[in-house]
Amino acid sequence: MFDIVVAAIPGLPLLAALANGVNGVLGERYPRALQVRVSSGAILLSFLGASWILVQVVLDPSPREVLIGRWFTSGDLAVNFGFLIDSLSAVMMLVTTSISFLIAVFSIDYMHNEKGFSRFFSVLPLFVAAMLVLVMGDNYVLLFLGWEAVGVCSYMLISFYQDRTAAAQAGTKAFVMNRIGDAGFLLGIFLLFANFGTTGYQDVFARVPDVDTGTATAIGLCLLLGAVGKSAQLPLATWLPRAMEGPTPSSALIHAATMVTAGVYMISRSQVLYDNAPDALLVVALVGAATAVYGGVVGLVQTDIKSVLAYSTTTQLGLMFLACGLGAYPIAIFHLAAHAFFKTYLFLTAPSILHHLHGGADVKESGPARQPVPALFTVALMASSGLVAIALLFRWWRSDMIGGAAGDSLSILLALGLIAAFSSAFAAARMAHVALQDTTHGGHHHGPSPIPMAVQLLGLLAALAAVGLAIGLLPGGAPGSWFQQFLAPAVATNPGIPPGSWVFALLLFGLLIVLIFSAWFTTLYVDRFRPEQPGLMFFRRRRLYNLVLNRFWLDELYGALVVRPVWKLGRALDSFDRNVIDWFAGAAPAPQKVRTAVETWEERLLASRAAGAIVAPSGDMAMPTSTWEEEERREKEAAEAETTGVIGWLTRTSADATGWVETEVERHSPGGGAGRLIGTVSGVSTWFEKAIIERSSDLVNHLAELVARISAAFERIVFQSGIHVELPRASSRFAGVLIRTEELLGKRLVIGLIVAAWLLALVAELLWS
Amino acid sequence: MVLKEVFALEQIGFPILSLLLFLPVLVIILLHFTRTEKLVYPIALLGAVAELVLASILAFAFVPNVADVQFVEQLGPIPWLGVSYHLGVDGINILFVPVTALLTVLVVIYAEYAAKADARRYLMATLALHATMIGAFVSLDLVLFWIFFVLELVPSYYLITRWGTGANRERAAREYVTFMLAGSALMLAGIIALGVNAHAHAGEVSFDYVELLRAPVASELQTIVFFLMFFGFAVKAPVFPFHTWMPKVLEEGPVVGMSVFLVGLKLGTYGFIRFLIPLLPDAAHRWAWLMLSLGVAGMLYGAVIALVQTNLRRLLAFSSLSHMGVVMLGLFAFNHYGLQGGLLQMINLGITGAGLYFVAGFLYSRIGPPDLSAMGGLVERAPWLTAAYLIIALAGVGLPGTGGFNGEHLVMLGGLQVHWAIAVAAGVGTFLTACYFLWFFLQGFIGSPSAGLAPKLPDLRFRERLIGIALGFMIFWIGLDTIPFLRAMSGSLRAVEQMVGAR
Repeated sequence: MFDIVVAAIPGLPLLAALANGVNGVLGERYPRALQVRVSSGAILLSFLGASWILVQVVLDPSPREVLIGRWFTSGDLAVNFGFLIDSLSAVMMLVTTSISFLIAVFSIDYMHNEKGFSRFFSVLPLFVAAMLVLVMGDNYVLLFLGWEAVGVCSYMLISFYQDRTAAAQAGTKAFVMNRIGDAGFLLGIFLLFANFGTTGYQDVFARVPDVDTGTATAIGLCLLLGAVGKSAQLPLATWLPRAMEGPTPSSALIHAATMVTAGVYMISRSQVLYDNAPDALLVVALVGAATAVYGGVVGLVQTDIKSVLAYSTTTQLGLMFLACGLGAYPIAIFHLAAHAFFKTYLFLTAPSILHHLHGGADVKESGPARQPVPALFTVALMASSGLVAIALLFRWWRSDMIGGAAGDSLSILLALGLIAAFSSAFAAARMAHVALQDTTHGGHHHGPSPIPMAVQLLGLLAALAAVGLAIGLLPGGAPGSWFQQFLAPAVATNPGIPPGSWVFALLLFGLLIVLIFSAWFTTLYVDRFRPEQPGLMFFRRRRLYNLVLNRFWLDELYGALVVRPVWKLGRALDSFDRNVIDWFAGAAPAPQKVRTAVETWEERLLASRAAGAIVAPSGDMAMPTSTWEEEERREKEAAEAETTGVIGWLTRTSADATGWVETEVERHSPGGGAGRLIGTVSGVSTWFEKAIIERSSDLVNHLAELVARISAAFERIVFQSGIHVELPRASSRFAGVLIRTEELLGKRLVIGLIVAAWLLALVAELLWS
Repeated sequence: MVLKEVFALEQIGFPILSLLLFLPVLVIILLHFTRTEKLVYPIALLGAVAELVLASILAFAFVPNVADVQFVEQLGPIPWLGVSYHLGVDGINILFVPVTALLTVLVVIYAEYAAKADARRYLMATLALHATMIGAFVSLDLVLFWIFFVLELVPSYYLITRWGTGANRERAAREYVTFMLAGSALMLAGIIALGVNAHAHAGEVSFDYVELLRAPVASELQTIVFFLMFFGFAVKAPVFPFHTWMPKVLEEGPVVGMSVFLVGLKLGTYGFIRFLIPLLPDAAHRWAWLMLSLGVAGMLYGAVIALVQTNLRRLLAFSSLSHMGVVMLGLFAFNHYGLQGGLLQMINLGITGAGLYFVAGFLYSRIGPPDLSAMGGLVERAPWLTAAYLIIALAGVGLPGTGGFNGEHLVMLGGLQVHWAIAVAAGVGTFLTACYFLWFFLQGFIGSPSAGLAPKLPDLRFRERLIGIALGFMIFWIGLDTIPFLRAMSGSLRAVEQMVGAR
């Protein structure tokens, strides 16, 4: 019975997704009502199943494993389709299924006019199934299966509005940034397997004490990279706000409530591992803190409500990471659950807020400044500030009473609980605020529909969570609350946390205060909806304001550092292939444009050789007055020009290379110091030229090429440091080298020579030995 | 190392491999003499389906998880020459046979769209190509293998020049043949050296794989033979510096038929694991670092170039180069995960690489060259086509649940045991793969339609849908029910591992 229910919980949504998907591909044979019933019915059933499982787990908290089937085996590696049911996965299942069900109901109204109705209702249950596999799997590889599958669903839902290019770009961005994290995650899984010989949670955790701290840290950091990608932490945080291009219900479900919290789940799940790797845990905490501040500050200046919500999600996720990083896993999980409900509520009411702000004329008339801050919000704010004070007092009290390490760590944990409490309280305040607005503007509904039932239901749930928060969480900071007791078999507060220092505690409280203020201002800001009138003291400073407005230029930074160089490299490499085609087609590569002194010199050198080649046969008669030196030079040159082998190629290459460098240089520095430098260098090379051509010996000719190259390289270096270091240019230079190599490789003769030399060398080596 | 041989007559009662080899020849002759044009397709299709049925029988009758060579047939050897007609399958080549047969069926199904004019010759050439491929995969005699390896050039040349789409197809075909002939000449030299060595050891010349396994090769000779044969396979695969023929052939050549075989059937890397590694284990060990470096280089190089392609066919050529790098990494990691992953990845590429060429063919028949400048917003008009691309591309990216995941990640696991940097490089490679496939998807299938795009673009027709469904089915089959595939190959791979590991 238990096994069947467990298998059905992800199985039913999967079947629903398949049914709706097939129906959609065949051209919607079934009416929409049936599709809706299939998907939301399946999710409702798995919600009921999850509730039943929760009851079972409460009755008997020992972890249970359910084996569904085998997936693949190779050598010692055996991966199963198996589920692990304990308190952690039970909580996650309940959160996932309940919110998914509410969202499914909400979407019926929301999506009813959309073209991709059946697409939405096949991806939604697919997502639910994938998320359930993620939280239920009993090994890391199955976790990864769910991990990737939710990523694909997220991709499909972000780029849901296919006629919008921005949506498609946002989807691709999210997917690609997640792939970076996934690469780290995979490496972590491999390291796990290499060190433990298994990827199952229970076996891994049993063997964790056997490995040294360094290995555990490496694994922990690799897994963290995966979590950072999925949960949009710094430095991979920039995809989440863009992900709001998708339909609002999917944003609520995937990019606020469930999928993005997968990283928190994974770290809590791996707590045994992280407890053995304090350094990795510290990085988790730092990443979380940095992200919380980043999200909070950037959220201040956003001008549309979905972005505000997205950055608020980023902040909250950062706080969850911080909690994990400080060893307070149960608090992180509680925060996760509470946040899921609140944020869903906020997202689902966002459309009506938008509607009020844009549709209701009286909002503008009355002016933003005159909108009163709701009383409840002020109360919540004061309460939160008070809590900070209480925490401080409590900390002193504890350290007085007990003294030493225990008190310190406890106070840190308490502070964390407070952060969670505060953020949820803030969310509650926001909710109340919105509700207030709704009553104020009750008469001005224009929209497609009044707030649907599901939202009111959610509101109820949110209120419930708020109550639970007020009663359950405050003691939740201290050991012994009901939630901690329930989670204890799966996750427990790390007892081995190093004692907190004064500095650390102060920093933490500072962070808390910043967050409070940022949250407060954010609320005001959204009410005002006037980006050009920031009444915010913080951002009088224009620069700081710009910095924040541009999201710390993270996107641009990534673009300049990674995306564009790679792109350029690819372009350059690509052009090589076309060059090779030209070579085969018999057309020589087009000569480079020449403009600068050095280039001209090089060109002249080459031209004189070519001329020599033509003139030489009749040269003796045409120029009887020439000195023997000159004659010799001509002969040498003629001979040289005929050698079209490697030397000829080298000449051309160096000419091309200098030409390219010069063109680049000139393009970037039209005059001034650069020009003078060119003049100097060309003067030097002219001197060389004279000296060399007059000498006119074969050896010196080659020397000339060498000098030309050196001077070119010299110029390149000078200009790079002289102007500014540009990574893209450096990479395209690298590409230039590759192009030459490839051009060479493209020639049959060269390939043949390489092969022959290779074999000869081998034979020689063998004979020698 | 002595491999046990189980003869076909004992195992199944009839020479199934010879049947697989000569049935296409029979069909070709039949096609040649058929008077009625109407009968050409049905006959070819029937022949291809019969091949697939035979290949499936072979695959299901194959005893997995043992190192024995099964369904063996042997005639000869010819006295003095030492060449024998020796066929057989083991865990290394068993899966290639059904994949080849499946691809042939799909190509024949598509032939009605691909070659409207002169379908008879097109089908004959395709079946001839199929026969040489099967021959190369099931030969256990090195000279026999070499003969099929070279014979394959004849129908290829014909297909490229006759049904190629590019203006420079003659040149591309010539280049292809030149490269292949040069490589196979070196390879023949290596094979003869092996035979002479066997003569020195056992008193008679032999090119038989099973015999050669018994004859130890001196370490110095191993290196020379290794590289002689390596060049032959490396050009075919293609391995990184020897790849320059490939984008041209794939861009200029026929839309579907030839390209599918070229991308899908990894004869080059098959040669590595079939002949090079077991026969020359010392050299393979000594030069593993070089092979691994070439693998990493090819993987990253191909991926970066694929990133900026606007033409799907060129993109796929470089993506194929990149995937070849992954296979090399797996094979030359010399552990069970790597070998298994590499081999599985070769099978996967038979589905995904070839599958994307089918998609490119579908596109070609609608918009001409599948270039981004002529695409954009296809999803609105052709959802089936879009879905086909997306599913196959995601399998290429290595999403869990598709075959690509298991192959690619076993390779990474194998690489990790050699050096962590290999696994990291492979990780970067998979990341870039996601970038270029999704970038193309974003530009070509979503986005805004280009100006030149026909307002009424037909979605996939019945036969094309059939092809898409077959490929999708295979992708998820390998991805979700991987154990039978891994079991089929594991016995022989363990034997290979022993041969290499014993040193």
